[in-house]
Amino acid sequence: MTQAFNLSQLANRVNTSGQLNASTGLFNQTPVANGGTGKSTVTTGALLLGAGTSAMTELTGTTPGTIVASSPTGWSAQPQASVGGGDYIMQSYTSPSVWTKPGTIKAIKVTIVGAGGNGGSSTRVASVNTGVAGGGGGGGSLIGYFDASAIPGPITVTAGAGTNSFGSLASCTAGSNGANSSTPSVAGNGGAGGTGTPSTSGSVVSIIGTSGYPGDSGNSDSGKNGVSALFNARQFSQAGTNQPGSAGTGYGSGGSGAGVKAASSPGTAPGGAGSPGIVIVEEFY
Amino acid sequence: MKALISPLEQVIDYLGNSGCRVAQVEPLAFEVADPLYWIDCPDDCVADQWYWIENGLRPIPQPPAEE
Repeated sequence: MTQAFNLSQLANRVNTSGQLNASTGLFNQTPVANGGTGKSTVTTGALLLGAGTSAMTELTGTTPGTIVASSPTGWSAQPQASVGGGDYIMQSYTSPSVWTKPGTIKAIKVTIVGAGGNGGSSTRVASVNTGVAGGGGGGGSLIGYFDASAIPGPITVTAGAGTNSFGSLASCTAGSNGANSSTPSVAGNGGAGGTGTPSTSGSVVSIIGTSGYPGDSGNSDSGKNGVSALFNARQFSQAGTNQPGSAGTGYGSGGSGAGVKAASSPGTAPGGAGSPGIVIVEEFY
Repeated sequence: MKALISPLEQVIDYLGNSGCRVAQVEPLAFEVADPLYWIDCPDDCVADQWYWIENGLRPIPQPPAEE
């Protein structure tokens, strides 16, 4: 009698195609061995982890800064700091300073640009016109990657004018100054670009800055400035007489050369100042 | 004074002689990466107007002025 009743109750959960309604026809959780989870409820937001033939277990993570990390026993929730990775800090220097090596750092990326060279000046020293001056060269550029083990400790940072340097690990020289123009009408040459120095303690790519251009006496245009390869800033030249050179823009750009200094306007037209360099340190934890 | 020598930057004078660039002149040296190096220099040494050639610092000779 009881068995017949039970079968009739089960039949009430079966549709006309003979399929059992899982939401009302089962009275226990489907075990793992039958393709289930073995669980009746799962916490909102939790992850389910395998546990052999036992019911799956939950991995919950509501604590900020906790991440899922692999371990010898499988995935587990761990504080981010304990497994490392992820943190990133960038510092840039445009004047001399000291970079302190954090104890937990894993590696750094260093980007350096040397200062740009100054544009040449144009000085009238006789009753005839001068030539046009040359542009300053761009500073050298460098990108380097250094493992923490290759970084000895505090690093002296030299940044801004001239050669920019990250201690003895990496340096970039400044662009050369453009040549001054002279009387009578002799154009100045452009300054050469600076360069980055490779280092054996890291992976380094160095790029030479572009040279400044010589003055173009035929068109009375002064020499354009060279630029750094990483900060490809604007290039200028000065047309017409008595024009001072333009200062370099951005980082590592040369100044343009001064224009022709006319006999009617004695004195000196200065070249444009080269722009300073920069040292950028990106820290990876 | 100290002159910063840059062996990677060769300077060729108008006679065809090749030397190393004097990239910077400073009262005090600061730390730089190899192969850059500092040497003592005369007070009248000027960056990019002198070069390191034949184990000595010398002004880069200029071509004679045109008549």
